[in-house]
Amino acid sequence: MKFKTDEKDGVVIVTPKGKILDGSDTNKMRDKIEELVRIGARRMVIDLGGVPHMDSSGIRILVAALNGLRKEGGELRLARITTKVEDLIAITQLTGQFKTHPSVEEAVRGFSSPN
Amino acid sequence: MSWSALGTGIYLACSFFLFLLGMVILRENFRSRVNRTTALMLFFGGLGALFAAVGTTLARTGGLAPGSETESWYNLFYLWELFFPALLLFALVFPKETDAVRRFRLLRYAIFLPHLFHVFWVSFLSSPEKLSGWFSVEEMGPLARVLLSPFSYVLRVAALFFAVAYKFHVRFFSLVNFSYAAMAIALLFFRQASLPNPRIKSQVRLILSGLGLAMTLYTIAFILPALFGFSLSDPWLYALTIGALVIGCGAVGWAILRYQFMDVRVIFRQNLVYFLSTGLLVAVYILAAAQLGRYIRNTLGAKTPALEIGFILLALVFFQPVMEKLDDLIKRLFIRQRSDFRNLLERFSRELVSIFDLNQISARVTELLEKELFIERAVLLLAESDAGGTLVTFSSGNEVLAQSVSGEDPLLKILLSRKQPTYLEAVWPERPDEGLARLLAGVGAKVAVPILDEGRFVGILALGEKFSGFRYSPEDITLLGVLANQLSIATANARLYAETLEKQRLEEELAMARQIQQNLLPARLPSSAEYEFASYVRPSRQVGGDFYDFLWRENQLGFVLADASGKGMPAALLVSFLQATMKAEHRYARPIGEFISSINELLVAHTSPEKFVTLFYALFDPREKKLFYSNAGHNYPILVRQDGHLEFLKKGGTVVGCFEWARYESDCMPLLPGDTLIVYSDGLTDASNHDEMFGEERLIKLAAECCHLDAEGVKNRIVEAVEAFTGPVPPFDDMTLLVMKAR
Repeated sequence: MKFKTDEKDGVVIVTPKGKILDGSDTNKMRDKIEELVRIGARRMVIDLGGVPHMDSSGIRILVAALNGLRKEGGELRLARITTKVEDLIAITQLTGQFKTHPSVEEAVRGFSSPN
Repeated sequence: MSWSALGTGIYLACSFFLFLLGMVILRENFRSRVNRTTALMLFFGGLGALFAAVGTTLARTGGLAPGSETESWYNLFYLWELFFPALLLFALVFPKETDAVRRFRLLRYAIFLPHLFHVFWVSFLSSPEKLSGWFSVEEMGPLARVLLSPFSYVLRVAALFFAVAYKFHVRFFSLVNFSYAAMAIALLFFRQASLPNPRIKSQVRLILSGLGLAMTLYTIAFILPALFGFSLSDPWLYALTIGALVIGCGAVGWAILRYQFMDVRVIFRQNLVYFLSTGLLVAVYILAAAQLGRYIRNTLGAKTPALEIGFILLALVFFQPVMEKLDDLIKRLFIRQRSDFRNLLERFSRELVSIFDLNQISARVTELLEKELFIERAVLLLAESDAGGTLVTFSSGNEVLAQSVSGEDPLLKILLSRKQPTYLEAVWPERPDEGLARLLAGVGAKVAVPILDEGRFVGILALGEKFSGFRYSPEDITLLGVLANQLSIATANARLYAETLEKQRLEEELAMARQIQQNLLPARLPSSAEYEFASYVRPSRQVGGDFYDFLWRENQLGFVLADASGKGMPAALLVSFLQATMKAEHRYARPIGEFISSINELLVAHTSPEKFVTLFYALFDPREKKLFYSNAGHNYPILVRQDGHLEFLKKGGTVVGCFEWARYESDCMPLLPGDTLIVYSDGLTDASNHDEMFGEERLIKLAAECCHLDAEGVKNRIVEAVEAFTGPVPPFDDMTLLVMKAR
């Protein structure tokens, strides 16, 4: 799994690519998100379009990002979520916790509209 | 051969030897004060021996007529007594200058004054006529005569006084010499006690005892007779003087050979040995030839020139091999074992390969440098860079130096780019009060040797001043460069070894942890007339983040299967906390949802928010044939009805340990004989054969097919299917399966 981070209209966009499984790259992504929040990121979109599958460590990242942002008064949105990932979120009964959008643009727009 | 001729010969040899030693020491480092002072002392010693030789020769050839021209030259012999102030100065500056000399620079010259005056006195003030002869008022003009005549009287009185006192000058200066020598020996004695370097200490001790003994003999021979007005017979006098000279010369020579006195280089020391051994051999030859010649002449009664030629031929045949043997022997005795830096390196590298402890390496290299290269202080600073290389921490032995250095430190960058022993004064940064410069200054470093292992920065060998105060010679710098290479290998070995040990230790700990974890799993699966269980556990690492357990509440059987996020030790610790919490909380009878909520609250309170657990908990009532359950974010367990119909147990809530506000629901299902419940962790469905994962579809299909099997049979079918699917690919995640069959 590789990932990159961008910024658009004050929204940080994290784009992982590949399966999110337990391992050092996953830890790196978690650390990066944590650092971004620490230096002031409050609005974040994780683009999951390139993630065909994740295991519980993927959930761990999403939960850590969600909790980290919420604690600082920020918000996390997910974009382009794939079926398998959606299933996993459903199994862990976290569906209500994440706002999901069909595209990154909509996710970014979502921050300004009271959706 | 008369006593005096033998004495003259030995005096001359000693004088030559002392001059030679003085030259060698002076040549070794002209700029060093210690060397100059030592050379001065040896020169005056040599002068003394030379004068003694001249004196005995003069005495043999008829002596000096009192009052003759030669007598005033004879008075110059007192020059050699400058040896005593030189000795005192030596005691003051060797092996390091004392504070007194450093603070009062004039002291260095002042201690020579009494003896210089003595020479002047005996040469020019020995009688009143001499003085008035230079300064005759009568020959001047009338005015000058009137003006200077009072001065002339004073001068005359002074001259008279000196002339009277002259009678006692020998006795008086004997006392002065004695006190100088005593002071020098006392000084050396008290200073050597506080020397830190054992090698320097033995040097000083050797010099001290040599000089002490020589001075004692000299005192007995000359000073005591002069003070108390008796005289010794000639043979005694010669024996004592020669003894004093030989012991004095020998002590200095031996110190050079054995203890690398004055840091004299190997080549000079070898030359010294050659000189000594050749001299010895020539002396043996002359003695033997003379004795043999006389014996042959006596027996044959004739003088044969052929005999001389025969001796020379014999000498030519035997001299060379004997010389070589002698040379070898002497080298082996004095030089080979120490200080030749190739030997040093060989010895050191042999030793280093067998040391795997960084502290020991550090101690050994420090000891070697302090002892063999005469460095006041050598410190091996081992560097530890943080991940980004932005900060470097140094440690010396067991002590981690408090101050860390930035990876961008200017001095550090210079050292790393030069990669070789570097004189710090040449590269000292503008602000030496911070960073690496401050650290190096703190350990008194003059030279820093960067140690690199294939480009990786291992540390710095920080070297203080040499004990002799010399600069490091090119030979030293080469040695240090090679040493740095060896150290980099040795430290790399030590680190690898430490890592291997650490790994081994960790593995042992993990094996123990695995044992503990296995003991935490139920020893026996419960079974009764109404139900049976089968289970399968396969952690992906030594310890896993999955567990299952059985918890009784009156006649109801509770059971749980949980999967902590992550793997290995952190996950294992989390599940053992969960397991203990569940056992404790299970004692209170209350609705299942509340039970899971309390578990969640405890986990939220005691773990970091990103750590969570998914779990499935169920409570089976065998009499009612009812299963109460709550699913906290776990893969849906599959309930296979007797007729093959499938149901999924989804009711519950989200994962446990993340959200304080999480609430859990529960559900109740009838569980009738022949029904099978399959609970598993995601490691089972995520098991992969590189291309794809086993997946839920396969598991569900399998579950539907084996509704007629007993618990063990169901478990085996599933495990076999998963193993057949993954083949030899090792499991990536912990795999746990629990099968319950109602009957």
